[in-house]
Amino acid sequence: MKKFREICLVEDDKIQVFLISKFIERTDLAEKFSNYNNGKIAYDAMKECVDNRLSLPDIIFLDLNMPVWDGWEFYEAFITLPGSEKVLIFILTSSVSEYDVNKALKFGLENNYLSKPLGYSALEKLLKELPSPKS
Amino acid sequence: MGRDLFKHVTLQKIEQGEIIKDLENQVVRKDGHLIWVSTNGVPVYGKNMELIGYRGSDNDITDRKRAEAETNRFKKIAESANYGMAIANPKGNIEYINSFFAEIHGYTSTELIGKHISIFHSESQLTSVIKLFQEIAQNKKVEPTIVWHAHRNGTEFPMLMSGIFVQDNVNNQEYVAASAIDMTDYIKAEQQIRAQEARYRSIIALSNTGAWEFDINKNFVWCSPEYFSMLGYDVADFNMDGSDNLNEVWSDLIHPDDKENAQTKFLQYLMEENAGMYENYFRMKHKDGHDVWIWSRGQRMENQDGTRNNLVLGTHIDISDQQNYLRKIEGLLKTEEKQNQSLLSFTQIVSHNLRVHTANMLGIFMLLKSDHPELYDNEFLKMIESSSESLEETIRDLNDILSMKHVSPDEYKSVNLYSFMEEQKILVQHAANAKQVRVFNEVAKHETVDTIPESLQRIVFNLLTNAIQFSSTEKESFIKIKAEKNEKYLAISLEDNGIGIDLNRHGSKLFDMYKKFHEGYDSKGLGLYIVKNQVEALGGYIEVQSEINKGSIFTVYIPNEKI
Repeated sequence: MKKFREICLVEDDKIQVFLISKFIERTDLAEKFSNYNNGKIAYDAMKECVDNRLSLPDIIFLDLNMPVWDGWEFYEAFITLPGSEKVLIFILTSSVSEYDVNKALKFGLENNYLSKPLGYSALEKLLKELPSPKS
Repeated sequence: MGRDLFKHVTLQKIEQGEIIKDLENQVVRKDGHLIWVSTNGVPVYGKNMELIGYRGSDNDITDRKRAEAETNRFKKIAESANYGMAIANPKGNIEYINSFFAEIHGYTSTELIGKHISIFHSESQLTSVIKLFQEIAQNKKVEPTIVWHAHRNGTEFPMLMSGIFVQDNVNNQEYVAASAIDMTDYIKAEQQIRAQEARYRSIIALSNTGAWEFDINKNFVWCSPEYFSMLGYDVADFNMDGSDNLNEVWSDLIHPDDKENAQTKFLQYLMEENAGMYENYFRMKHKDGHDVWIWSRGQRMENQDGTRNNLVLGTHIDISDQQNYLRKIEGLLKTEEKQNQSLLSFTQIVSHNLRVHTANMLGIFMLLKSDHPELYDNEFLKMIESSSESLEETIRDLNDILSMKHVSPDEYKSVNLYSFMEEQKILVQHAANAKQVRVFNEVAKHETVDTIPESLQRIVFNLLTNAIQFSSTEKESFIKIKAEKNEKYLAISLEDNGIGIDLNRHGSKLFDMYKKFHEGYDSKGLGLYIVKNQVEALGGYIEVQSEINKGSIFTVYIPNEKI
């Protein structure tokens, strides 16, 4: 049994997705890696899980700048879902705009605000130091 | 007739038989009054020509004597007067002139009797003088007038003349009596005042200053011509006698946006107890429609006893030019700020986004190395990886430099320079030992400086590592750190005996980014760029002396006071 059941990445950049998935695979800390290419697709998937009484991911890495629904639109919809409070969300962005930083502050995500690029060693360290999710 | 009281002289004359004609004597009348008598008498002879008596008469001349005495007194006064007095007949011939009046023209009184008054005036003055004289002679009222007089030697001088027409009914004579006051000094003083006033006027005109006076009780305003001319109006457009309410004129001419504030502020000043100086800025409408920025200042006058007067005196200065410059500069600053801001966000975005991509590339290479080692051996891929690494490093440097640009005054601290340098020595100890460079801290132990420690540390650290890196392998290498304070700057110098820099070749580029001056050394060409950047951020400057194979001295000047 690995430390995390599922780590999810909401991100449209294919190379980012490829790298993060590979990195997570190398850490060998997660059973499953999932990816959605924008906020809307991700939300729909999460909603379906909830509707079908399936588990939500333990961790979501959330990009902000995406088509259709951006990261914040996803976040605001997602937190209304029952069980979402157990999910650890990390913003993963290259944005340095004050708007995004303030928004993160508003949602109490200031300590969960990761700047791209997220290298392998940084990711490994982060995942290792996180406490095991309560089941 | 009191003949028995004749004076001795009269008696003598009688005894000698002389004819007595108009012999004036003072006699005491029986009633005790002292009177003047004029005695006339002839001796009366007998047949044998012997003196037998006297026939004559005494006349009381007391009144005439009194008049004469008064005339004498007048003459005495006139002669000793320090102003001119003269009497002329209606034709203008002088009948009497006192010595002051005569002498001021270079004559004696006697010389002038009978002369025409034209003797006192030059050709050019004569017409007006004669006219004036004739008016007086015709008994017209003439105000005292300044008339130019000519001295005998030709020089001219001003006199204040006043004259009256006198009709002597008793003697049936008419004449003109005149007095004259020398006005030379007065006119000189007046000319001086005028010259002074002209100077002040030209200063006021040059300084764009208009003057105003406000009488609180009468709500009356007076304004100088410049007050109006700076607004394009002629002072003649307004009545200064109070029929134009210049207070309203002022309000009407103020820019609508400034009116309320301007009026309120002035009223507040008037109501304040210890008001001191009044000062205000507002726009006024120029006649041709544009705005004139006015700097108004005033002062409530004080009475001699120190109480406050009802008068406020003040000035208006046209500061439109300054205001326009100010606004231009403000505009420039705003644009500059905007540009800086967009430049900053541009660099931040570029450097951040670029980093993501280079990091991606490096990540891919890392995975390639582990997942497909056979591909990783490809030389082409290795070169791409190396380029990615360089790109990544460049972006990292750029970000470092960007992040240290901002110097905040809050970060200033008092630093003991000696201890500070000791800490820097420890930081570079490893590198220094490896290169066998000895570092000497020659800073005085009490020397302190107010600075941003992080900035100073970057400066010293980069200079030290440079000096260590470019030390000579052929001699015993050293670095000497010194500090010296003058009035404005603290000069920190780092002297080494390293390989030196060819300043003739590289001098101008020495502190540029990515400039390298020595081959075969592992350097990025950022050190001196960072040093200069940080020194300037602290408000200082840097100087360098260097000679190939002898060594270099870098001197950093840091202001003693916060910038």
